Amino acid sequence: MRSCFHREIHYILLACLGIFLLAQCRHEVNENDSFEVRVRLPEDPDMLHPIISKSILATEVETFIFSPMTAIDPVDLSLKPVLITGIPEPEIIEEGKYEGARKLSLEIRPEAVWDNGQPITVNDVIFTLKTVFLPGVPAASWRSTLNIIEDVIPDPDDLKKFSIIIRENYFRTIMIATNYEVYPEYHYDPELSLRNVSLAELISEDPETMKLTATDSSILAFIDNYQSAKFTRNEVVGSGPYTLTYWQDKLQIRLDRKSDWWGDQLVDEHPIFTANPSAIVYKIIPDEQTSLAAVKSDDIDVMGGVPVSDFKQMREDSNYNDKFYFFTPSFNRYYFMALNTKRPILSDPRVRLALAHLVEVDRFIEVLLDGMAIRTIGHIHPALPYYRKDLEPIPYDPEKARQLLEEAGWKDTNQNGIVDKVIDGKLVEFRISYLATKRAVGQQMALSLQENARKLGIDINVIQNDFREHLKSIKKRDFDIVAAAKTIPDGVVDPFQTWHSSNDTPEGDNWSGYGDRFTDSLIQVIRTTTDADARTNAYEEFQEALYRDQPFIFLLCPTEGIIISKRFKAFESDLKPGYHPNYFELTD
Amino acid sequence: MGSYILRRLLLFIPNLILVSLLVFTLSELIPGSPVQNRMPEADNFQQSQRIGAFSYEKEYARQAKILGLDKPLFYFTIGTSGLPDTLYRIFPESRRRVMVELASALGSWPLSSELHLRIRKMIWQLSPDVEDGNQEALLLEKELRFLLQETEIKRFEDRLGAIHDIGEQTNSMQVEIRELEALWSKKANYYGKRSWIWPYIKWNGFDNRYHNWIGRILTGDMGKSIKDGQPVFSPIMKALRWTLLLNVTALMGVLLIAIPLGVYTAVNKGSGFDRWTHRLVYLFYSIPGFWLASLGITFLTSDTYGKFWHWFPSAGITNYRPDMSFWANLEFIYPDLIMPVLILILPSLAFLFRQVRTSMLEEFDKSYAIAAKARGISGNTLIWKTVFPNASFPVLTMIGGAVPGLIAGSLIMEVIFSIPGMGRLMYEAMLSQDWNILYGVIIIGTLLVMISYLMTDLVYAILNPKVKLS
Repeated sequence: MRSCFHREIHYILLACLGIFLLAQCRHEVNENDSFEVRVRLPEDPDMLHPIISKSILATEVETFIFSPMTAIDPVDLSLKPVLITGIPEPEIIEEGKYEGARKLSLEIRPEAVWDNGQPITVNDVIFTLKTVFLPGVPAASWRSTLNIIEDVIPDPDDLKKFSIIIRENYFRTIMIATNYEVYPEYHYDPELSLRNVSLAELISEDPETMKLTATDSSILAFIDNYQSAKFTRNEVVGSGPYTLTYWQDKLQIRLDRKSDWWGDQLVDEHPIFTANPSAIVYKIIPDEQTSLAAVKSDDIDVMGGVPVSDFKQMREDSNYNDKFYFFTPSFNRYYFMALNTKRPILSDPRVRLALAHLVEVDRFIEVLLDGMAIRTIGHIHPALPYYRKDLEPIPYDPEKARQLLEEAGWKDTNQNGIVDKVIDGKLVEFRISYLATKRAVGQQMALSLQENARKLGIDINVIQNDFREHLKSIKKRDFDIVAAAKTIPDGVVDPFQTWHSSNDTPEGDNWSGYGDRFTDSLIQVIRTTTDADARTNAYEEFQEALYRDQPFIFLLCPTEGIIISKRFKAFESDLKPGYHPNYFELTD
Repeated sequence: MGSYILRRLLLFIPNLILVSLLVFTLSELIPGSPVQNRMPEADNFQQSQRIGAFSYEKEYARQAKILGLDKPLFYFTIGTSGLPDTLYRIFPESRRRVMVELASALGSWPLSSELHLRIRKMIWQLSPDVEDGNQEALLLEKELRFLLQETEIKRFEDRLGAIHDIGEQTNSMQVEIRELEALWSKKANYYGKRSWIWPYIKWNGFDNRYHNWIGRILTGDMGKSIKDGQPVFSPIMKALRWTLLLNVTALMGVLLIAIPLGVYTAVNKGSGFDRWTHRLVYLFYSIPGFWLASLGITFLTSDTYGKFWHWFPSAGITNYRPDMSFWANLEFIYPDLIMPVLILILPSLAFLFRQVRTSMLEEFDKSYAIAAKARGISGNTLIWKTVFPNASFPVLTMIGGAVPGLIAGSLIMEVIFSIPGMGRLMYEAMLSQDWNILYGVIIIGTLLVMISYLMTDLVYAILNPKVKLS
């Protein structure tokens, strides 16, 4: 009996061996000589439909399929014309229906055509904008910014020329009015259903038009179709250099270079039209360790967001140094602690500065983030030209903090270990609350500040709530200190959201309740002046005001670990984070 | 047997209804809203317009309506008599919550609702001045907006006091502020009264979210993904085939290895092989699968630790060819599946191995096996034809019990090996609150599990005539 079993066990072992050998035979070591860039994505984009997609990963892919009228140059962050011939200057309209408004006169490049050879015209621009404002299309994000547009007026003699009418005087007007992807009307609305409604009426939510959009069967069918899988993932068509070849759910997305892209004629005019690789393949690999293994085995060429410890380990290994670039561009984001300046204890700038001196930012960067961050003194990214490099980041200095507290009148008069002061006739002890995030780094920072403050007689109560409660407390300004991060937009920074006194509302972003007539006027200059020097001066003055008043304790801008195969000559921009695969060149 | 099958099939209906009710209820309890995923950040609305918050609410309500969330959840509502039966129409949900919390503190929904209405009206009235940059209006408007967030009586009162002072100092909106204070003073009429918390039941009719959804399901329309507009069936079927391919292969592997091993070690109880197999199998059992997977990926998928150790392709389905059918692709993708299948097999071996071994030992001791031996039956005939059929019931039970897992997928394995199966589909649908996908997954999953249990019972009856179906 035993012998027959020995035979079966042998079969099993042989089968296992066979499987291993088979795997070995089947595995071809990747020696990819084609100009195909394989990029790791941690998850699928939600869709490929720039008007309604929300995921940042979608934007990364869409950039290569669609073309906007203007784009931000990663080299200098300036606005460059893509579909249009030049960056327009706003002109004030002197008479007529739009008297007093501003007009941007634009012309679409003669070379710009769709994949079917049809020219890109104002009809496509109007169609795109109509879809943004059409009720039923979930384009709320775009609606909230593009509502500065009042109308688009085509040139009656030339469908390549048109004017965009804008009511507001705002420094980001040109960018907002032109920096969005244009859709081909022939593909997304072959029935021309939206020709029956006017753009101006859609924007102004004219009741009759709203009624029409809610009842007209062809418009309703369009709305349904526009958000269907056909246009969100299967038949995605734009005027960019690449075409979507396929998208396999949770596996990969392949973009192939168009052989006769209209932009090829313009590369000499500006490198923004550069699109070198013959294909960009996005491999969807959620797990970071799995992605790293794929990088090491040459199955992917580009990986962003590499965990800090792995990034450092690989960078220091000479074997990998020969094979990969290790880039560390900084994210467009800054971390901070917001101080509620409306609270009596924190209303004195000296007290806020004292707290800033108790935060060990350099040590956090070194110990918690393995050096993968840079310090910042304000809300403007340190790589931007108008960042105040002359203002030194506030150092960890408990002695200075003690001195500032004493100057502000905080002393331990009742010898209970907590400093106190008489405010409005009442003895107030320095006890404050700190709303911390649940992330490990956030917790460490909170505990460190709590410990450092305790030594100076300040009692900080660190509170951690669930996300909903956390937001509720911020909305109600029910905190003394709250730690958070904010994104710095591409291009020019508008301080209005975070710093204008009018945004000190529950929905507003001015969490610290900062702002007075002086800072508001600086913001007004930044937002409205047409004089670049005046704007730079206002930016500089505003940063100085923030530095002096410390409504936020500005901490750092994290950097991203990016690994890129040395199969390519890669492109790196300090100003615009990311890996920009379209600029890659094959190494010899 | 026919009537038994029919009865079981009929039982599917109440089961499915029960599951659908459970899922619907749970979806309501989970924080967040699918509308949120369609909305920009609230503050973006303030970029160019001061009435940002209200524009946001308007847009939010519009999106909620598109998603059908402006209807009652079910045929009836069980609530408190103090709250209106149309609460579901208030968007965003955060505003609804604040109003309910204030009503709860005051003991009166009408008062809470009226206060909110008045405050919002005052903000509207102030908006032209605010847009003109009038600082006093701005200050008052700001305080009113904060007042809209207050849910505690003391804080509400303090804020109202501050608004009173601003009104007096700036000489603006004094009439409205006085009216607001007068309204607030009515709270004394309600405070302490708790009669409003008595429960009530209200019939909502058939135009409710559950009815609309189940109605669509019954007509075969599972709806579209909230995230990307795909018909729900499509991603589920795509994911299901990956999960089944992975897990059925792993299950086959487990059966092929564990059954002979279990039988062999039972026959050779106490031998060196028996002892070593036990140790090895339990070693794999005690190692968490995800750790084993990470080890495999780190050490066996690249040249990092020497070319010899580069056994497998890097994780993920790297060889899939989109121009070919899924099944035709098996020829190319099987190397990608070897490691995940092995990792799924190893920890599962111990359970079945032990079951088979114990069952075989028990059966060997039974009188029929002893009698068969006495009659001279031995070797493969005794083991496979006489004893094993009786010892195989645990195997069947295990296969039946494994079906839910086979369908639900193994999230961690799917994430680590980048396999686009059901686990990842469900997980990502949950994160993006794509309820239509989740409902679809659960309904299809429930149906498949019920079918598999039915089939397991039928196989029991076929293998052992002593089992009566009733």
